[in-house]
Amino acid sequence: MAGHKMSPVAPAIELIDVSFTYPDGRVALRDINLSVAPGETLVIVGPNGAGKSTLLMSLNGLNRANGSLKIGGTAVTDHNLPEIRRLVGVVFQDPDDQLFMPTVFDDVAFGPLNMGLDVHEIRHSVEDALGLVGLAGFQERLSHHLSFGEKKLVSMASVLAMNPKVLVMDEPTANLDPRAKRHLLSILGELPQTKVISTHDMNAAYVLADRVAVIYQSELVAIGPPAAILTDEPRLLEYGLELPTILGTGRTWKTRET
Amino acid sequence: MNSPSIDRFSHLDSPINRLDPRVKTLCILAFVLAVVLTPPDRYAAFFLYVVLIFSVIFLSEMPLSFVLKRSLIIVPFALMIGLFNLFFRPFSVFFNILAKSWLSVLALIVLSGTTDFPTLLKALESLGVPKLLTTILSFMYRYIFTLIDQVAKLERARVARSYGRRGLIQLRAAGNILGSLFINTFERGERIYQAMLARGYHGHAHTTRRFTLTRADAAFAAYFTTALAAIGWQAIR
Repeated sequence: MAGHKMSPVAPAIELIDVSFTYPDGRVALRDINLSVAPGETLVIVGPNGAGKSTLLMSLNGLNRANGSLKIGGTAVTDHNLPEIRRLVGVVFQDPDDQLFMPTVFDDVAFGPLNMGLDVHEIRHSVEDALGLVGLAGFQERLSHHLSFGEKKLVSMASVLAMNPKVLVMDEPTANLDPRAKRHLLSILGELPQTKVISTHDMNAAYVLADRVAVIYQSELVAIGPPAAILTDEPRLLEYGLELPTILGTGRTWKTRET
Repeated sequence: MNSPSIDRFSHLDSPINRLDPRVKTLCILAFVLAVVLTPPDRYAAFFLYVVLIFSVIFLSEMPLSFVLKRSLIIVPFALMIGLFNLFFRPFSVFFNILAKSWLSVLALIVLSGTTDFPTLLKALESLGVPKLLTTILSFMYRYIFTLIDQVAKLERARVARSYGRRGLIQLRAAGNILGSLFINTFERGERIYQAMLARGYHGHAHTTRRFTLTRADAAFAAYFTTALAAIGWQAIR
């Protein structure tokens, strides 16, 4: 568990009274207060439509939320957007949305190119990023010929190539087969970045999280270590969630394995 | 996913595949221009164009059956316009339309068949085609397969529920499929744009690839343009 208590450095992410209302008047986030320490993994759980994705997309300013939102001490403002986008890498849920270039190389190079790196550095960062997700040598492959699991990994590489400080992922394990899911989780476990991950997969949440946050009806209703949040069955059910099955059903809980 | 792709043989390592894509693009463009500008009744010239383009097809190692089959795609269009003209104009016009369109299509098959599409786009870019245009084409190339898959899924879902009914109802279903496809595509477009913004996109994309001209490029360009010029010259003489 990362030392988020009494940390002398600025929090990686700090939200104070963050709210978001869609143009049609629907409130998606209400007064969210949250602080994430550098290197910490925060997993966000909650039913569909609770506001998880809205919160994630606010972190790099894709949704312009009200309230104070800081990434590593830098406020999310129009002026700071280029800096924020470099600091916060977002891996979207559907890799077909994220991989919009014809080849894997072009896609992973897209971010670094926008950052203005030179050709040599770009080749290096693409190579490194693909290596990190276990897809070394995939540069010239065509995105639409990849399997779903591979697309997901390339999406991650395309974000890692920008060397972000914060990694934001929207339901990373959705639609993955068990093997691809294990592979992804083990990669995630090894990445040093601060991570904010939304998921419906309680097991993944339990394994990955330093802390778990529950978003329910646009509000942050609970936050704490997984052993506290994800073992409280009555409250989980109240929020439309469930116990992680790796804990066993009912009241026999195993201790957490990592 | 097994959608046929236009650059299926771009992985071949033939002399034509290895050419600088810019040289190929310019040569093919010159060929198409020459063909289109040749007077209709110069049958000898058209014969020589066929010889020239097939010499390149032969060098490219693409299967002849693939090239011929693919070139038929133009026939319905050319035939329709050609037949229409047959009523009012001499036969040479009919021949002219068919020959010119078929030769042009053959030339484009050589270009698109031996160059993988992303490389072709980069070549176009470095030849001065506006970035906006090549970006649109690259999105088309990337998502056409996703779209084909989506249509297949929607169609399967329709078939699964419609027990072989025919007629107007089918037409209505087809309309709904088109509508839902449009909405899907529109929304995907928004999500893609968000994904681009998230990775620092600010209005203009950058590219990396640089091409280098080799002796083979010079040799091919010399052969092709000389032959073309010779044919063209004897046609207008």
